[in-house]
Amino acid sequence: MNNWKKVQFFCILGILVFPAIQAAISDTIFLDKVVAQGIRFGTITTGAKYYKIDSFTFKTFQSGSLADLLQQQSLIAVKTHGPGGLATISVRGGSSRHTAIIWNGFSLRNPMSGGMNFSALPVGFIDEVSIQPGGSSTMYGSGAASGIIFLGNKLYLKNSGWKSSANTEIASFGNYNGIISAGYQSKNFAGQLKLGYQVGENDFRFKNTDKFNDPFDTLKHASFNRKSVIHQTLLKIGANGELQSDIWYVNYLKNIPSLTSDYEESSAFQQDDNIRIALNYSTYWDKILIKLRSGFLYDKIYYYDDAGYGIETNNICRSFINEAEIKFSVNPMHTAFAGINHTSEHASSEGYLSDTSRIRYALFGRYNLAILKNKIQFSFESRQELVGSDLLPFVFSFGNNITIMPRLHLKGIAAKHFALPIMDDLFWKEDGFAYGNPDLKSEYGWNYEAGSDYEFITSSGAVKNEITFYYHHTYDLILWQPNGEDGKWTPINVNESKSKGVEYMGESKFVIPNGLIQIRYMYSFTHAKIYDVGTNSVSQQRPFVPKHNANMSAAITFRSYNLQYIHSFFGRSYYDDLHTIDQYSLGTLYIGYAFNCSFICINSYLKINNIFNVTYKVMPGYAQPPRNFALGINFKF
Amino acid sequence: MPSHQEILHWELILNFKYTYMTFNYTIIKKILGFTGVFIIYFCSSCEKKNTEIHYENGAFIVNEGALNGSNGSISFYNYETDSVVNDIFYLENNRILGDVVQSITIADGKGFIVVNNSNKVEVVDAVTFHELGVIEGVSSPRFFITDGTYGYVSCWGDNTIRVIDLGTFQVTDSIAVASGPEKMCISRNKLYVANTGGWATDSMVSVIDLSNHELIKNIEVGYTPSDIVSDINENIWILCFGKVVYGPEDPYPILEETASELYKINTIDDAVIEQHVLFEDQHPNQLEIDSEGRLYYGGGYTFEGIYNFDLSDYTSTRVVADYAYGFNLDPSTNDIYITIAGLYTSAGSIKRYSSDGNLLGTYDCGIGPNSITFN
Repeated sequence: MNNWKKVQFFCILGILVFPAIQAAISDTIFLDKVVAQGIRFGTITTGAKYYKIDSFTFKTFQSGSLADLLQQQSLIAVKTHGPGGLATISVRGGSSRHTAIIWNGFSLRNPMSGGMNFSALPVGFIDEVSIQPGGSSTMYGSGAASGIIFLGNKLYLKNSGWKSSANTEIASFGNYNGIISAGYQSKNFAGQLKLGYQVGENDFRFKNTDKFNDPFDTLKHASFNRKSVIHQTLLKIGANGELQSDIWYVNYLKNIPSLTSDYEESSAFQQDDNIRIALNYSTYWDKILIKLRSGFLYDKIYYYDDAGYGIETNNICRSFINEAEIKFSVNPMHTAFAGINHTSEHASSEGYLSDTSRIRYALFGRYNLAILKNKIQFSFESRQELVGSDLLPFVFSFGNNITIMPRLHLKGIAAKHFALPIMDDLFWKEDGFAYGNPDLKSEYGWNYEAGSDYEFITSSGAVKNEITFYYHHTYDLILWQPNGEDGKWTPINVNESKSKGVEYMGESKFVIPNGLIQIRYMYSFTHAKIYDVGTNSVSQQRPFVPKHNANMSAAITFRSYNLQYIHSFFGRSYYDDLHTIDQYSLGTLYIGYAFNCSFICINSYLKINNIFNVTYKVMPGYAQPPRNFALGINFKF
Repeated sequence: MPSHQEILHWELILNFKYTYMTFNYTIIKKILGFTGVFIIYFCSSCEKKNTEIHYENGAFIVNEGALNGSNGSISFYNYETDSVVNDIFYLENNRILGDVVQSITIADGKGFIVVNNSNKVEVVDAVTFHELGVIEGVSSPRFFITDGTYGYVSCWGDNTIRVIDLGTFQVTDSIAVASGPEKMCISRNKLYVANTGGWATDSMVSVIDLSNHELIKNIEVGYTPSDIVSDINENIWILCFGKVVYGPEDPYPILEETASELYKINTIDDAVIEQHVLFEDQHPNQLEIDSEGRLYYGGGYTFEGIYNFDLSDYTSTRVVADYAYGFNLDPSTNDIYITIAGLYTSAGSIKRYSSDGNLLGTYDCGIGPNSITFN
């Protein structure tokens, strides 16, 4: 067996072995489900699948980007242009424009491109990441057609006093990372400031199988530099009120290397500047909870390439978001929620004829019914959105969650979703090769899912298994195509997309003397295709969406030692209708040791990425790093 | 021993006693049995060796692929089997060809494949398609031509013609020409280069002396000289696409437009001796000459049909009523092959017509086919 087959074998072995280990556990404990910051009304939609990235894995990827984390520890397909390069995602076969990214309640999706660069987001600046796959347009509007990623930064009001930490890491290929933070917490006020800096050369050597004689090349012009600041405050107002402010700034400069088949060195680079300012106020009375939030989001993307005749673009987008939510519990059986959203988006780009604005209003609500002591729960959600003077399709959903027996739940959801055209689709000016289409309609469609979860609870551990089946159908899909008349590219609403699949997730935690073992494993099967209504033809599997995706992690803490192994398998995927990328597996090992003193806690760690030194590609033409190491130390005062 | 705080950090609710876990060894034995099955499966799937194919008596189809998609390829249409084999470079060499494959030229038993956005020319055996070498140092190359002694590559990226040593595949010289050099032809030991202007507009044909690799002159013709052929009298015919400028706003009106034209150059004194307007408002971009010296033009997204240009009365007759991204003439039969580029994410196709315009066959090929070269 060659290396990757060994890796594949161990991956499958892991999937087989760990459920069996769980079956051997005779007693049970309870695994709590706590939702992330910014989730609408503080509760997830009844019947929807939802999972969080566990804190140990979070720590393992602390110095990496969100793209690294999601690629290896979720069922999300991440399309990355090499290390540190532009990374976009696909949930359940949708495209990046079909997934919402919600940070502390605000959508971070760029209204111009519809996506977001997950390489530009440092994990160390986020306190929690959770994922809700499936259509959720009713609560989160356009962009949540195939799933949502929640990013949260949390503060707590408790008497902890001053706290500070410093984390530094040195890694292969000229990568250095440092984060320092300082904070204060009391019963009435909490504040935190975090500063981060990361730089990487990414000048690794790799066997270039895309060139004649497969030479060993060194990746050039692939360095990056990321500076980040986050400042948060939380203030208690009155007996029941809280006001939280968040300010977040990220500057990300990335040199873009040539394709691996290219014999000329690139000079292209991209600089992202992201500013997010958010205010969240919440208060409650006996049966009423009110949340008010306002946010300002600023995204600037500057791209420069002096090859050929030179390309220089400067895209700037500003969004102002205001929201109000109210939750009213009539009694334990009946709960009603309602909300209103106002979003104002302003964009400027050399690609547009002029600066462009879009104003959106939305009304949304939810009604929850819980009967038989919460054993049966139903919910109905709906949303109506107005864009300019255009009324968008009314969307709604029905969800249920039924407790069949203690710890065994059946759940399901049927939801209508929609996705607005992005600004590039609408406003791109004629440039000789492409032009936008201001007459585009919104995409719309249906999402159905059903599943069950079961928990074992013991006095020494806990095991949870969950399986979900889904079907997702989108009409009026927006795709850029060459116009038959003049050959220029323009977006049109003609085709349909259908995705169906199954997701299985399991998790177990159990205690050993002087320690703890935690195991997680996930598998997804995704069948996603585009149906051409005009020619009645069907595409291959959608590009960069593997049919099979699996990962597992096993972590053990024993006395002061921490050890985690993560293994991820990515099935073969298409990158167009004719060509495929080979399947591959990646292994990551984390070894940590903690020194505890009365006034300082020191954690040191060694992390080995791509431990089996697999040669792989996520996208054709983009090199990926071989085995590499990171050594870090973290001080907490 | 970890503190309770540490364990809480792991999201575990700790209201229970520590106990040892008992493994069920029977279950593990069964799993090891499954393991054996998987080992046999993985060991049995070994790599299969390709049977050697000879790519003769057919036509190479150049599939551009999508920009930055790394999915350009070459397909082969086999006359005998009347079928197409796709991705023959990958099949024979087990690697991708590159990004935006622009053209292939067959000369001296070799295939010179110009890969525009990979800044290279791959050299293969024209029969087995096994890789022989690569030409580096060419910036945004478009086409390759040879006089038997040297190879010449038109380079869009730096407006040069690169001179290639055919023995070593090294660049030996560089000749500056006008903007956006593309198609070339050789006549009377001179290289004629059509300069399309690249991202802008040009109207020059550059003439290079092949005895000393020096630019003789630039000849002004119509806007966007997109193709160039040599006729049986060793004179040069040039197809000029014309110039079209669109307004930036929906419905994107045409603000400026010049006619598409044919020019003829006498290669003895390099003077323009004929000029014919083809269309005031239509813009073909490819020109071909058949084995009997007849001119055909057509191709390009904006243009419908393939036309024969009658050299006796300078009139055009439509031979094929079809949209073609590109077209070429089979020198042995004068059959007309047209390419349909499609969506650049899925298979394109080619159609084969007889010289009098009867459809003989349609075949799927790679992504974004732009031309056909016969072998």
